[in-house]
Amino acid sequence: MTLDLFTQLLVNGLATGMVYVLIASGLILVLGVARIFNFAHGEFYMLGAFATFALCQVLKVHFFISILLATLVVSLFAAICYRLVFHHIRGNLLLCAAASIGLSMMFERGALVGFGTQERGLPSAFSGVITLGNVAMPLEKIAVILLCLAIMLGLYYLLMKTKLGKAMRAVKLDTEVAALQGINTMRVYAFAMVIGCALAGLAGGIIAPLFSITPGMGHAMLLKCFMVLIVGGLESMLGGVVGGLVIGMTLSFGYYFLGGLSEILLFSIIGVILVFKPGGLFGEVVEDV
Amino acid sequence: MRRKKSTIGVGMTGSLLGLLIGIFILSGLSVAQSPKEVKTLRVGSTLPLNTGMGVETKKMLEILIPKFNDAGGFIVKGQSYAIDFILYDDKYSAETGRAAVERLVYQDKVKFMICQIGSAPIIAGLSITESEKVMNMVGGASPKIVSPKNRFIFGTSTTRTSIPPLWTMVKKVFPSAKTVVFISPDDETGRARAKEEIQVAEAFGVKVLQVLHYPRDTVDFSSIATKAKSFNSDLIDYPGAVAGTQFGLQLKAMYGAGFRGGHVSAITPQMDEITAVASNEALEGLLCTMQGTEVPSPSPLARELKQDYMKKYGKWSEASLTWIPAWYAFIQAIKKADSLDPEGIANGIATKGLEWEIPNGKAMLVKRPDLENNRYCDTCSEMAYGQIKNGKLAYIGRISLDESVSACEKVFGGKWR
Amino acid sequence: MKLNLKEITLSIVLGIIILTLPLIIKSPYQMHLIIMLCINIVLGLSFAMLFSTGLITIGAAAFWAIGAYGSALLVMNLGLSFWLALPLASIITGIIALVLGSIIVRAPGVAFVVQTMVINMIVGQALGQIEFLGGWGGILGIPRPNPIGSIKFVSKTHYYYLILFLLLLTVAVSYALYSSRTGRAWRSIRLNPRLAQTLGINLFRYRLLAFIIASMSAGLVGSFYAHYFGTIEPGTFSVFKSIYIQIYSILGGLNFYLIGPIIGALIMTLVPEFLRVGKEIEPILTGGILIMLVIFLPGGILSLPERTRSFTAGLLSRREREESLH
Repeated sequence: MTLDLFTQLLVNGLATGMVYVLIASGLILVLGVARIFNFAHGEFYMLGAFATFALCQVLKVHFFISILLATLVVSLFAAICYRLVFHHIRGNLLLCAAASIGLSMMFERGALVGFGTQERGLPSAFSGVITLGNVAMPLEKIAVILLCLAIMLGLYYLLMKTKLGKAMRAVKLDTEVAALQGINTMRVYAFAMVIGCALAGLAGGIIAPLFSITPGMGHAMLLKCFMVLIVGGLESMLGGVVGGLVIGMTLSFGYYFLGGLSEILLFSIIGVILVFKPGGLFGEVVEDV
Repeated sequence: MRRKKSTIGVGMTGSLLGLLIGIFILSGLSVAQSPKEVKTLRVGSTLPLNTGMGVETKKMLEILIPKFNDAGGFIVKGQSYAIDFILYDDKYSAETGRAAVERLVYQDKVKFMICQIGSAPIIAGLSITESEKVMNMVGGASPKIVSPKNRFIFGTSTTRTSIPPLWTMVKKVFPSAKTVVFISPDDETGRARAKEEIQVAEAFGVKVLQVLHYPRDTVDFSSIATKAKSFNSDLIDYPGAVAGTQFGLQLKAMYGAGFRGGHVSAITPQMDEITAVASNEALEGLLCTMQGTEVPSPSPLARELKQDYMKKYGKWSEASLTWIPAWYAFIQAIKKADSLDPEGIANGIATKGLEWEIPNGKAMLVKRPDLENNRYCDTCSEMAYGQIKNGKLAYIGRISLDESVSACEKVFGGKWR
Repeated sequence: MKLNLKEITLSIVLGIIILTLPLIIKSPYQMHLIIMLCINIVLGLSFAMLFSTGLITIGAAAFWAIGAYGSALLVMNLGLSFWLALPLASIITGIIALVLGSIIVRAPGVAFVVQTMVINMIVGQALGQIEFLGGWGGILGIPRPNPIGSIKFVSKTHYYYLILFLLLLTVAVSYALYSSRTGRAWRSIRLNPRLAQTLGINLFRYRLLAFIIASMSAGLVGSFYAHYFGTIEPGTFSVFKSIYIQIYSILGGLNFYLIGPIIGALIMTLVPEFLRVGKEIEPILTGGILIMLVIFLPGGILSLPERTRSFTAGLLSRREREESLH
């Protein structure tokens, strides 16, 4: 394998992996703090992509600003969803899951009806390649990696250093005790949902110029997200990072060597991991929901 | 206390069940007894309304059918009939499709069906349409649709027969090409198309170095493109690809991986979708089918169709053009037979054939001796081709109906006429 | 459970309606819906049985698939009679459930949920990739059940009675288990696993039993499905179907292991039919209704009696309230 080839596969794997990390982190945040297994998470990702498209192509707003505005839109939307739906059934994992399935059905078909059947795409904000030595790397992918990295660092800062972050971590550990400490758990749940979905929307915006924008893009992404959670553990942020990168790399390198069998291989690897580490690589085995 | 709970529980359950079943029965009865005042012919369809092509086909039929009815509808043995069109969403799935067909055949009592698209719903409903003798003109891609066991279903799209004519064109445009790599989705269509195209390519003297399958929902083609490029073939072909942005992403990825050879595609790409994701350089030179509405001098039928569509909906979309030949075949079949008996008509055209006009030009039913089917069951048509030059699809030539059928006979063997 | 006259008559009327349904409903289309409903009920019961031990599965469709494909292959490739293939398919599913269950039932909680999902995904992928099993196009032309005497399984009525029989069988077995020591063990495991353990209940064995029986019923109805539909394809047995199965129980009422799935499946199978008005927006309406039901009836439909009772009790005066509580 040449260095050129290796670098290409590496960069691809990292770029896709980082995007998975971003989206999965959002899901893990919502699951861990707000106790919602959000089956509609993929739809927020999709909305972020569409919003970015609308702002960028239709309103001719600068790409970066579009992403930021789109994320705001998605956050607002997530807040509304939380207040209207999840607030009433908070705490109950199964009911929230069922409700999120209902939301997912509504959003996906709503997007199809509302945005039309035409698939959309955005031109790249960064085209061209960087050359380091003999190796050429697409600028686009590098940009994605750096952006995602920046956002993840921001998330880390949020969770570790800010009051809200600490509150979220407290609620995740033990909701009752957190409430006893004076933390407004309802607000924390809401914030977790908003931030989690914002992450998904942000990822949608970042991805928009790389991949296509269709109403069904949420579903496919959700499946990949599940795999990240399975590998990394459902409640661990670090697990999300590791899981996302592992999946991204496996698909990138795996496809090259194994072709179509790579999916089955991936599933089998996941299955094996689960047998030995049922909670995922970084998860703990939680006794009953 | 516990006793009361269960009493009320059973009571409530019973009443609820009874109520639901009652409503259910009543709704069924009322539909079955609806009186027919006007002479109408009920025609049914199921479409994947969760996909672009499904929605577009629905929109197209919503133009064609009212126009047809306004012009007098069918005139059979002196009596005129308007079409009462009933459509259900099959969500591109076997389960929903089957339920929809059950409803169409048993509840709405249709005797004719047109324009189904997905192989899964078509095949799921086959046992019903065949046993109830419903004449069904479908699109679909699976060769299982034209299996010799089926007597009332006709493949009216050129999905199964467009490859040999395409490769006739490939030889003209890329005369020195000796090798090709296929990139195909890993689903029923992708696998069937890829298998077929291997046969065709090799019949035309081009060696297939590799077939790469990707999961249907893939958006990231960088790895596949890298792998495909590594074979250094003269051409890349995309059997079974879906025409939208995903296809554009594949082309973009191939270009990004360094491939500068020729691209071939049996399907017409949606130009505005693929130019949105891929640069002009990445698309340059793609050889593909061109729809009859886009060629320099379209036929009157094609021109009228496009005009009517744009008048109602504003923006033109080609997504339905692959699937509406079924409509044209249907009207022609009834006109020719001058009867409304599905069994009679189906047997007639299965033994004698049918020719009709579609936006792409002339089409005709053909036999599939290679699939051991000696009835007229599949379709060949005139084809037009284009190449992408500077981000625009430019017309480069046609293959006549005759040439089309001959190409198929050459590759698959047997007499198709 | 002692029944009073009201309950007995209600049950008899209901029973008569169910048994003579084909005579009342003439439309084959509606019979098709009822048959699908019965299939969905059995699948829902399968989920509920596992849930009664505190395990949540989103892999029920995988075992449904194993039963369907197993039966199809037994009849088409080995030439067995459907009547032999039906129980065999169920047994094969049970054996596979035994093997898989022994591995995954050990880790309960969220890990289990995830593992069932992985099983479902692997089964789906494998069925699609393996050409011998029909690949993505699936298996076509699966023969009808072999005729018994003059019953030829051409009309929906025959299929209906067959699925009704399978459904009643499942219900009977489930009911027997729930009322027995096993059922009590399951319920105690769900309520408080640690406490159950201290009482000497072997968590693993009881959960594994539930897993196997639940999977066997899914496999049983899978075999029926294959020979009723005539074609089976991998797409039907997806994770999304498993999630739908879960919704049947949630809508009906998670605490009602028998009636809950019946009501939930009834709603999810029939409501989209009534909503056929807007073909394009039907999923939007169904999703909306689902959300409404989850929010306003979190205990499921069957919690309505509770809620109306406590509601009406609240309206009564204090003394009457005390009296009504006894």
